[in-house]
Amino acid sequence: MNTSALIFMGFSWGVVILLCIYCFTKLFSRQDKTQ
Amino acid sequence: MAKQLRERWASKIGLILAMAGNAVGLGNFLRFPTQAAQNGGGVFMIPYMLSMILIAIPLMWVEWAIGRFGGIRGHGTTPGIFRLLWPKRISKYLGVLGLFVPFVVVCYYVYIESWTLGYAIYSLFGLLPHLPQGVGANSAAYLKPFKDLLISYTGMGKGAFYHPSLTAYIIFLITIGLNIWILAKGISGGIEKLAKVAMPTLFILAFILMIRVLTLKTPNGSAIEGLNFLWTPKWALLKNPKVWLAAAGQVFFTLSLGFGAIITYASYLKENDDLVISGLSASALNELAEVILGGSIAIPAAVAFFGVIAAQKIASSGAFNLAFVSLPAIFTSIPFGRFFGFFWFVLLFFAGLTSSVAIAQPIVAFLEDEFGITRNKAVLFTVIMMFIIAQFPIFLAKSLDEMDFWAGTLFVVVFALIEVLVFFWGYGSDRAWEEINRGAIVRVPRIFYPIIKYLTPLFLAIILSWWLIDVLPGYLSNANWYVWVTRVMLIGILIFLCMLIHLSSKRRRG
Repeated sequence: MNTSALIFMGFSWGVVILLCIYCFTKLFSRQDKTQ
Repeated sequence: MAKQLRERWASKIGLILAMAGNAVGLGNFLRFPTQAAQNGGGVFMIPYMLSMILIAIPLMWVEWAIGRFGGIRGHGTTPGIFRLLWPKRISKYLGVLGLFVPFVVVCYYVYIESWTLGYAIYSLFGLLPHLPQGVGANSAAYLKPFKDLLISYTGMGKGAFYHPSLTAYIIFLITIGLNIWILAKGISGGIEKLAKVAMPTLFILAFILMIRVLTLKTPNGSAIEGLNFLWTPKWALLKNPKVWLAAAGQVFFTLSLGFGAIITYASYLKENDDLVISGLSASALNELAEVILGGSIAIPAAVAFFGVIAAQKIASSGAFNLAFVSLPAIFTSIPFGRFFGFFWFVLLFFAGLTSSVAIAQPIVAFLEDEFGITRNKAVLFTVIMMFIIAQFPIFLAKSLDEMDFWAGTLFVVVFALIEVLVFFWGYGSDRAWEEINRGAIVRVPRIFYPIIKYLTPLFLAIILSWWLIDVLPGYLSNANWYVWVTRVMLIGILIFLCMLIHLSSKRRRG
């Protein structure tokens, strides 16, 4: 892959993966109140 | 406060998967990669992410908050909720779009969803056209048998009427039946259980397909060249306002904003359930399906098989061609392709099914909440109406495009603008802000207060103005009698829904 494509793809994938990790960590770090 | 006994989500993960299922649709796997490829490649992500922060995420929180606000007061749809948020005579009628948009969209969406089921069956039983091994240099000739199959399956030829195959119609009936079955089982017993099965399956299938596609290599190209084609930044296009509008449109559609479905789903939350992180989690899953999985299947596969130039043509020929012509042609040409084709269409079918039950639910909820009828009766009434209206896109030329333009493109933006104005300006921005943050695991950063109050409606108004100026005149001038039949039908639905709102209002007063 060329470098600029790799940077844009890597950045976009990185943002999405970090967002998922952040959300699900926060979500399940607290007692599930919907139960 | 008139509290009614309403259903509730059984678990947090079920709610998030159902919300993600609502958002993840055919657009994640087809619309996103074609939009990115046509609008600057890698640089498309700059307006895409900015639009996500300034329009999509704020609007998503607004819709969740409106839904939860209405649900604890016995209303799951906007006619009832808007009346509480902004007590004016007109407010309940402004909420009609929260019924009109999802109802019109589901009528044609279920039909397209049925194609994916039909093609999944065709793939599994080897009924798709057989091609000699190897890739011909002429992609048009190579794709012809698959184009012919799509035309004979859907009957979408020239003339005012379509003649779908009997198989297509039977599978459409089966798809309607599946939707009835899930809707009739209710929120926790039907929709939530479906999401818990369909969403993990969808992600697993997409991951398998992504790995297979990324290892594709033919004399014409490779999937890595496809990723280069999709992600290489074309900086000059960043100055083009159409690229910014395309990105704003994409983030809007990908999260299914302005459809009323998020509001209805959120109405089954409890009073102090978190919506900030829950909403963000569902959006994050949608982005995972779109940016990572969606960007790594269709376009890289097309480039690997047909080369960059032919793939550009395929990308611009529309989502249907990509889904039902190019991808099956590619999958039938690789070892065990029958199964990969089956995976592809099952993936699309699950994406479609989890979305169709979501956009059918607002009408069901409206009938249950506002007329007090049982769920089974509400589902039956909704599905009978759906079945009648669905005959238009099945048999009448251009009807599907027309319904998609008015309900699925124009009115979703109008409705989103109304939502944010009613909530932040009609109900009051401070109260709306507290409503969003009630029960939050993490409070929304204060910077989003002015964003939601000023920037989000401003951006929505800009998108809407551009469409009204640039797209609408062409649409209105390019019409023949059968297009007008669909338009009259749409006006009829709008009047019918306004009458239902009027009746429900009289019933409440009486």
